[in-house]
Amino acid sequence: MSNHNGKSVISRRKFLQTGAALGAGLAVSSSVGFPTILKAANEPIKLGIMLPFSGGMELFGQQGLQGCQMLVEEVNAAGGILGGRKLELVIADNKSDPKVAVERTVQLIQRDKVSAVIGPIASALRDAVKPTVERLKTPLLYATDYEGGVCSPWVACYSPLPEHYVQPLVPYMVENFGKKIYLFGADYSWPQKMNVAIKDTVAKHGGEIVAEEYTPFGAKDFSAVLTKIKDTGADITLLTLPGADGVTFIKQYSAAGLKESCKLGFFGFNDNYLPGLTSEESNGVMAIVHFSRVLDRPETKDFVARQQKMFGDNATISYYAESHYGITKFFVEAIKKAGSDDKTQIMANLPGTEVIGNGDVHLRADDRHVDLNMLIVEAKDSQLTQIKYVGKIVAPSQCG
Amino acid sequence: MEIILTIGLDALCYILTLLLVSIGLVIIFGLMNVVNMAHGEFFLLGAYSVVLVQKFGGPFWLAMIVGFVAVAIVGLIVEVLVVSRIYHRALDTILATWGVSLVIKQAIIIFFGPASQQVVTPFQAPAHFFGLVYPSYRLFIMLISVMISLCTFIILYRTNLGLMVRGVIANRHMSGCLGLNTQRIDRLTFALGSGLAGLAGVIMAPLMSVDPQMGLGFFLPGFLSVLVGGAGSPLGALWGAGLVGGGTSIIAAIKTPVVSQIIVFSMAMVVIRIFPNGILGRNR
Repeated sequence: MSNHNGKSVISRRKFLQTGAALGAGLAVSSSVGFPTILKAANEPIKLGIMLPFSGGMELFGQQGLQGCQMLVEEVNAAGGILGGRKLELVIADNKSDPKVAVERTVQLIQRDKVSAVIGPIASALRDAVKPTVERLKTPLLYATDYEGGVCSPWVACYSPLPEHYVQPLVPYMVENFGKKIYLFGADYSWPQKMNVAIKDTVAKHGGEIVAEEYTPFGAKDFSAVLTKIKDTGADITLLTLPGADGVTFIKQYSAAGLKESCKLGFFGFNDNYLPGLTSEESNGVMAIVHFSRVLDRPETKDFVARQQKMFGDNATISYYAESHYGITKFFVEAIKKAGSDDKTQIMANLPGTEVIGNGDVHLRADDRHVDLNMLIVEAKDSQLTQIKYVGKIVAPSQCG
Repeated sequence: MEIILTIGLDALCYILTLLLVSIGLVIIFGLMNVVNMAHGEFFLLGAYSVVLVQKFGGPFWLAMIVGFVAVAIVGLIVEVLVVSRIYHRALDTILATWGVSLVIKQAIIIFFGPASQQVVTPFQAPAHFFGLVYPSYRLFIMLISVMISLCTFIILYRTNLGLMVRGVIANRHMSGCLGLNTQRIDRLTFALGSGLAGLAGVIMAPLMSVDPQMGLGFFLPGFLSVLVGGAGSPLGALWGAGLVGGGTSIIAAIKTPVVSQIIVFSMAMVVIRIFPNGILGRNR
């Protein structure tokens, strides 16, 4: 969902890592001579990570990987699955580039023989690799919020959809801050589909949309839009402008003194945005998430503690870590249920219910999307604080 | 009335911001004729010097000095190691400086990480005047932009140094024959242009996301301004920034930012078609 305006760059370290992974892969598959049964029993179950580690979206890739790594370590420490087979991650950098994403996906599936591919982050990359995983009949496990509508027998999404965000947050804001709403977002599919859902909900709750506006990628000056927001006398600005442009917008919104008169609701806002803003700038920004480390729930505290133990006390634990841990967990449980690492079996056994970082999460059988527990949060003193626990939101089937 | 005044102020602010950002480009690209793809990364280095100075508790004016000096030194090193060897190979400079830009961007990611960095804005209370409320930091940017542009023009057109710089650019060979150390002047000019890019980065840091990709955002409209205004003339940058910046801001206020980008970019194409050397461009 996030925007990226970076060029693709060659990261030598990732290249070497991928190379090392390839070496390990060759070493395993060259262990010929063993009887087939024995070989299968010792062979690790491989899981491909196809996330961005360079090219502009590496922040999210790194956090997603954090989730996957923790689950793999936990499973292996508990003795592996299917009678002692270990899980192994094969890490590939998609460089935030659709073309590279397709190449890496093919490599992971054909060369590294992974049982499933986790990733990517951006919708453009997901749409680019979807035909590939369908053709090669390999599960693609996606764990980022997106605009909805992916219905493929080979894709499962641990993703907050527009309904998850809009249904709880919009009525809450209309009730508490006023009826006149200004919609502003980046000019691509996620914000536009979000705004369709927002307009629908606003109409139901007696609100009024005073303007709906989009901005091209990489715009650095929002003064014209800020003037218009002030001029329309809007009570609420609903922002769908992810990434650096969103940070820029909040800075200028705050400098223009608009925060007092017009409440800012930012879809997609999460812990990652806070270090880039001073507390004066971020204070009062409202958002909705399916996971936040500040949640006062036993499973949340446990998840945060395990993450900190593995990645240090200063580790960022955002919902990317939680969602990628979650989808990996569903993958592992599916293999256990199926008693096999057969790809068709994995997809068939994915649906179920697991407790990950915030209540029980249900992965539905009909469209392979999840029902998530949501909470409304607000930034305060450079932290997200819970305003309201919403609970389970069930989005309509994405295969309709 | 009030709204027209605000839109006018917004437009003026964006024009002066663009001017501030493109003033370094005017020198390096406009005068020296080097397409410096690392210009956005010089801007980026300037912004990160604010992060660094504020981390050690330093004030903003110190960041402005550090940003200018540090990036000027980086520019000097780049000139000596890379650009000075390929002045006469225009296309190769694009490739070489692009490489420099990748090195700088990755170095920033290694040292600071890929996430946005926090920068404290020096003046936070909005200013009140003529019944308007306007962010005081934007007024500061406008003031600084005017001052820096004036200084640059004065240095280039009213000092001996400026005369030498323009002499070398106009006719390197003849300047050398007349006893000027052309190599030294090239270095100085390139360092000055780089330092100005760094200073622009320092000044814009409080108003935008400070992350490793931030350099690109002003690089494109900056180049466009210089091209539209006329690469050969520093005054052209004023025209270019006025047309590109004013156009973008005013059309965005009347229509939407997307429409404004389409119109301004199309307009730039037409202008460059009619005036291939820019509005104030001289034939070269």
